[in-house]
Amino acid sequence: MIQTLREILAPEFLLHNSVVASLLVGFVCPLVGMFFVLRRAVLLGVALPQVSSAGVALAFWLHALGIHVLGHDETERGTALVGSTAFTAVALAALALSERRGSGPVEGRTGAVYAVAAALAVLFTARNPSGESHVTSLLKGEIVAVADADLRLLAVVYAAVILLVAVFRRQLVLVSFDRNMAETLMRRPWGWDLMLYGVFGLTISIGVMIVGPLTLFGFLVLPVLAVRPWASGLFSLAIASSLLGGVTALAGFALAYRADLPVGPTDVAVAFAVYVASAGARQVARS
Amino acid sequence: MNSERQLLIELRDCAFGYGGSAVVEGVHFGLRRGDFIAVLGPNGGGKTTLLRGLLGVLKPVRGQVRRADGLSFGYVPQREGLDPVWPVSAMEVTLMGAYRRARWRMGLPLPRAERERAVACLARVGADGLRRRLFAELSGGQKQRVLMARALMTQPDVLVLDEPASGFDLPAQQELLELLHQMNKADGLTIVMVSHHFAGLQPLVSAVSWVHKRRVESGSPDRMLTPSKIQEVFSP
Repeated sequence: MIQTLREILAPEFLLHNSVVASLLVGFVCPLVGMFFVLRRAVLLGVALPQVSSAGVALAFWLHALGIHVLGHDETERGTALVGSTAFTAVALAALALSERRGSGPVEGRTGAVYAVAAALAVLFTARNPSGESHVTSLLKGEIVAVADADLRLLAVVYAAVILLVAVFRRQLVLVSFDRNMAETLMRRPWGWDLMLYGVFGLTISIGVMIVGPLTLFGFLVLPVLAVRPWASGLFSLAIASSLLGGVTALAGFALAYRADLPVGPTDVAVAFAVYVASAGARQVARS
Repeated sequence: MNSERQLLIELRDCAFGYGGSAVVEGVHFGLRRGDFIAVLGPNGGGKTTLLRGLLGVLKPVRGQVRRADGLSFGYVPQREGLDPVWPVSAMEVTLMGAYRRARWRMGLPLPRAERERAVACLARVGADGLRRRLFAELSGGQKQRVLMARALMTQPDVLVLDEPASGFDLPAQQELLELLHQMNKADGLTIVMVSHHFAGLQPLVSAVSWVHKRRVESGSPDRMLTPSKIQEVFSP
């Protein structure tokens, strides 16, 4: 395993970009996923990557039909980014608006969004004349083929996400932990909700393109769930979840490379194994 | 004596509610510096709605609200509303009271003075030994003290508590009331406390407001806590 790690971490490694992309997703997603878990909005963490995927599928379909949103010289990845971002933004705006109006249980609305997004992703893919398998592989996240431009984009967007979460962490925590207190201390607490949704959108729309919805959701939630029972405060939860996400991403990549398995599902399986081990150890520690 | 103290909040013929319809109406209410007012009434009577109106979180459907310039509130919410899934320490919860002052620090750590103030606030409410403990793992009474420390951290003009003694047995209720009485008398803190318990209140509070049947009725504890008044409020 050490030899495999040395091999995949070497700069001349053929899939070097994929390793770096996996690490970025592994380190950054738990920092955002922490808010999904602690706000009990994990269902939103499942639904949004699916919405983003539906946007990617629609964009590819339009691209194949010769309809170019960004002009004729747009790339397939550019199309995907537009579709992913637009769909995520619209879904978040709709969910935020319905939450403010308090129309029905939030789980019901989020579940409905997930169901329709999953259905649309399949329908757009089925209608795509470019071939179902090609689009499906893109939706799964071509983690083994990350171009330099994609890696740069991912790095820039995720650096912005880290910066936003670090700089405004107090406001984001207060508005999430104690809404009533936030209302007495802040002029517009919903503005911070909006920023948090923006952070969700940025993280998901770019992440889905690189690693796909399944892997992204795994990294948003599993490292946080594994660390939470051991955390002595929010800072320790954030740092430990992020480190665990990064280590899991690296271990998953190494395992997938060695056993010739798809990277994304291997990452999720490794993260889940860590979560189960953590939950078991916590039980033992408490007994 | 009362008229010499600064008027902090005045409500004139106010109605508060949601979606344009009033939950409580015809509210005349005055809060002066140094008051300790208990807002009492049956569950679901609109006490929390009135409290949200006092805090300015809820705008009046009708009527006029006047607040002293720069008035600040230290809010102690119902502790059951805080999700135990959050792994926040008592110190982290207390420091949230400094977040407004720290809003321009742009993510930099809080100054040492704020941490020292948080320790002092925890000590003031008898919770200095709880600093490192997880908030979710504290008892109801300990959580209440930490939330009071957080409210004190905001350096408030008015401390506002929503059902602080809910779920407490009688001795614990009395202990909490004594602490609030001390803060009112010794520290000169103005206090508004919403509660549906009224045992032992009479010698400690300066005024009582009953919220029932969509109306608010205020007066001295001697007048508002008589057996006949209590029977009137709780009769169907």
